[in-house]
Amino acid sequence: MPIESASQWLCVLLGVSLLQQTAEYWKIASWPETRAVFWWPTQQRDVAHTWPWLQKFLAWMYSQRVHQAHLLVRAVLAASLMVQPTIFSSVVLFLGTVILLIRWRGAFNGGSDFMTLVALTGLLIASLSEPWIGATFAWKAALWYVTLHAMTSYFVSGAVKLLSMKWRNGQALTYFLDGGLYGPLPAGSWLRSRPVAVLSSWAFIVWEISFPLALISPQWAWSYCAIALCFHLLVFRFFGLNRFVWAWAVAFPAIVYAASQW
Amino acid sequence: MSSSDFFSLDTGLWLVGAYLGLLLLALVWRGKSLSSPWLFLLRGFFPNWRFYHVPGNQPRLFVRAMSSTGQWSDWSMFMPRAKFQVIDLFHNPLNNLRLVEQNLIDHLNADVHALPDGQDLSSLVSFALTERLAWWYALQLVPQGEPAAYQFELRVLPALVDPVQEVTIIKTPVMNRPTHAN
Repeated sequence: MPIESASQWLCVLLGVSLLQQTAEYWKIASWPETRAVFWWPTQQRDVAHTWPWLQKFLAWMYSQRVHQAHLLVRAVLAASLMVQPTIFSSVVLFLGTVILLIRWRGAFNGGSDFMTLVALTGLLIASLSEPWIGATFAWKAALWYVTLHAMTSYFVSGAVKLLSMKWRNGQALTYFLDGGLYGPLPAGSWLRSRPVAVLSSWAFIVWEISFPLALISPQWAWSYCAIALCFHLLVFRFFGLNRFVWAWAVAFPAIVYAASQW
Repeated sequence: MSSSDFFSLDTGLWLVGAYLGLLLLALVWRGKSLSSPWLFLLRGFFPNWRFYHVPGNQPRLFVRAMSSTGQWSDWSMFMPRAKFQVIDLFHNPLNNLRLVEQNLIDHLNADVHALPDGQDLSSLVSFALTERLAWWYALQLVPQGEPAAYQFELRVLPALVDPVQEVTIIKTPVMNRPTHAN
């Protein structure tokens, strides 16, 4: 995949992912329950150790009107990524993400937040370094940065499962599926069958841990990314983690590009 | 020298090596300083990617509410559950909020275990926020109006143990509505 296509696709998919997240933040911010439970005057004790000016700034950012204005600006900048990323959009989206994560005590949706931050850091690397080293090298650094994190995410996730006896014998899979958002599994579900659980667990482990092989060639990268998409859709189907689908899809153009470099 | 010459295979391998070294350093550093408030709030910069790595104990919130007639409800367990809808792939705010609320319970459990001896639970932000969450949940437990009082427990359900034997970690006194709760 040429670097121009990879960078454009990454920006388009990142824009889609950020818009999807921002629409959810907008809705959540409108509910009285959110403001009542995550009541900032209580939660601000999390930042009581820091400078008074920063505490005041965060309190201002999280006030209802300013928060909504921030989300609107974020939506516009996310959409602009699909046309042309700029230093301004990269910096504001990156800092805005950090501010939103602090509002949710470090993470709103776990892994998808982390992957979004990785993609935004990649975008920041490209935008800030482009005037100094040129677009090609800036985007190479950005795409490799995103690729390495995506590879690590699958590899580490597979490795820790491989080290767990309960994953190797299939027990963990049914346990987690029972606890999922759309769970529990029906009593007669075929996923409760021990051979199916063992086979599925090993399929996930082998696929995740072998993900670095995606770098062998673009064909391998496309195959691994296609399986990854199915994997994330399954995770959504059972755990409701819709943001993971969009957040990890952002990394696919980078992975295919990296696989084209040998 | 063009940028493509500069980014040779050797350079790429050095960058990969340097990245893995940094990752290792970050993991070691993270292990030593996990209690830092900023590290907690900015943990997105240090992802560990250990998703569903081992079936562990499940911290769960249990709530009961007293109606205006003085009748207590049964203890009710807060657990994010939903009916599957394809549209959730594109827009799933309510379920994601429920998952954040369950994360809050998980953090409360971790904070309680890390709390130094003699320190009051109310000093924990996670406890103060859980009080508010429990109130919102209590609102659903009374047929109409607001509860006259409520109470919550943090219980831990051991993984893969049959029958499940819960362990109660926190049992609050009977409480009134929190300030600015709705």
